[in-house]
Amino acid sequence: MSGNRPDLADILTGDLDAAGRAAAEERMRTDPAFRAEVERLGPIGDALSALPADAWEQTAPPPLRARPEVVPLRRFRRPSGGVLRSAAAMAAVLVALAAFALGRVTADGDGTAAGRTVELPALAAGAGSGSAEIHADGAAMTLRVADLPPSADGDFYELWLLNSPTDLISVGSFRVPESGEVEVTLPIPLRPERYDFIDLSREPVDGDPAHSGESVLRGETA
Amino acid sequence: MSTATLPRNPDPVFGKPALRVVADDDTQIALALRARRDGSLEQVYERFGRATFGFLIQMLGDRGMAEDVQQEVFLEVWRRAPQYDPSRSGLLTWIMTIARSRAIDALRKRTPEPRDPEQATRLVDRQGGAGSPDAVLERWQVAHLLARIPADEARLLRMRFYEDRSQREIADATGMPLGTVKMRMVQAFRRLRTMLDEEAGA
Repeated sequence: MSGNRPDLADILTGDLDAAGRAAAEERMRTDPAFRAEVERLGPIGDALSALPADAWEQTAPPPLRARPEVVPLRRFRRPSGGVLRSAAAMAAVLVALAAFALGRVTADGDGTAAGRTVELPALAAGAGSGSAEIHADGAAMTLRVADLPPSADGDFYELWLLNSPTDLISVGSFRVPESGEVEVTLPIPLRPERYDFIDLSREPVDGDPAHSGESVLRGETA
Repeated sequence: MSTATLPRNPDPVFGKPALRVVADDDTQIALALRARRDGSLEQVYERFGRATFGFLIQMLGDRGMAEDVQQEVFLEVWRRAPQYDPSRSGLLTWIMTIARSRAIDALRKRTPEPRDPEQATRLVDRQGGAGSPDAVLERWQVAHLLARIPADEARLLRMRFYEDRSQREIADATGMPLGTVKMRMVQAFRRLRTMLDEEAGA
């Protein structure tokens, strides 16, 4: 402590003798700003004082015993290259086949639906139609599209949550079979209400994860 | 195919996903976890596992039980990852809250009475200020954040609060003027306070 007038560091660190504590109490009584700062920072000192040795010694935790399965979302959209492109096309075809055969692709969760539905009108005539059902728990959405042009060899469709061309997040990718119809359930990485639009774009298989700028369907979330 | 384009944007890098623009490591880890990317749970565990385990050992007083609950906590973190909302709290706070809940569950299971879960929670919360779940939780949040503040500040805090040296002794040991030691102590406190408030979403 410095002299008879304890400073903030003395009080926060508890570096006070009996006279210092009395002086600190007096200063806190007469100096409201000082008192407020002590009260704001004091719990940090309490926490530090109570930390056990493990906390200071950086003791390692036990290793994780089980490792959950990883959902391979958008795995085919890694940086370009001939082999990767082939793998991407193959992966996309597999997703499309699954969607076609099962009528539904569940990428995650139990698919709890019964949430609210956002209509996704076409942005140009003849570009199909769709809707996105945001599940009640907000953790996933089920997209249903119809009359969309089938995916070609070098492209696929991608679903986005979007505020602007620079504020958007990909929800997932899929291919559309000859029927033009797809139902796919995808986990939502962020709360959908944070975004103004749900957007479906057509994307080239070029290894670029950015939005292509070619939107097909779009609906307002509000 | 008939398509329309997004509205014109002056940004020459049109369409770059916001996910690429991340502010810090925690944000990157949180985004990866939410998307359940391969390796993201391991990253989260490496970063936060020590704090949760320290909290659980202190809460449960039994290392074996703490190890079991630790596994439950991170499986739940993985299961609920898509629901994590960074606008509501920091990742540390979110994970520690899960750890708190699982610790209370474990205490309820261990204690035959009372049977009313609400009452059990109240009893746990009444373990006294210093030993209450919230106090222990904040303590381990602070422990976690010690590794995030500048090393020289963390070193001074360690010397004072772990090695139990006075500020004068710290000044002598480090060769710093006493005033500098005190200034850095207060800086460290303020930094930790700010980080805790940000974590809590304040």
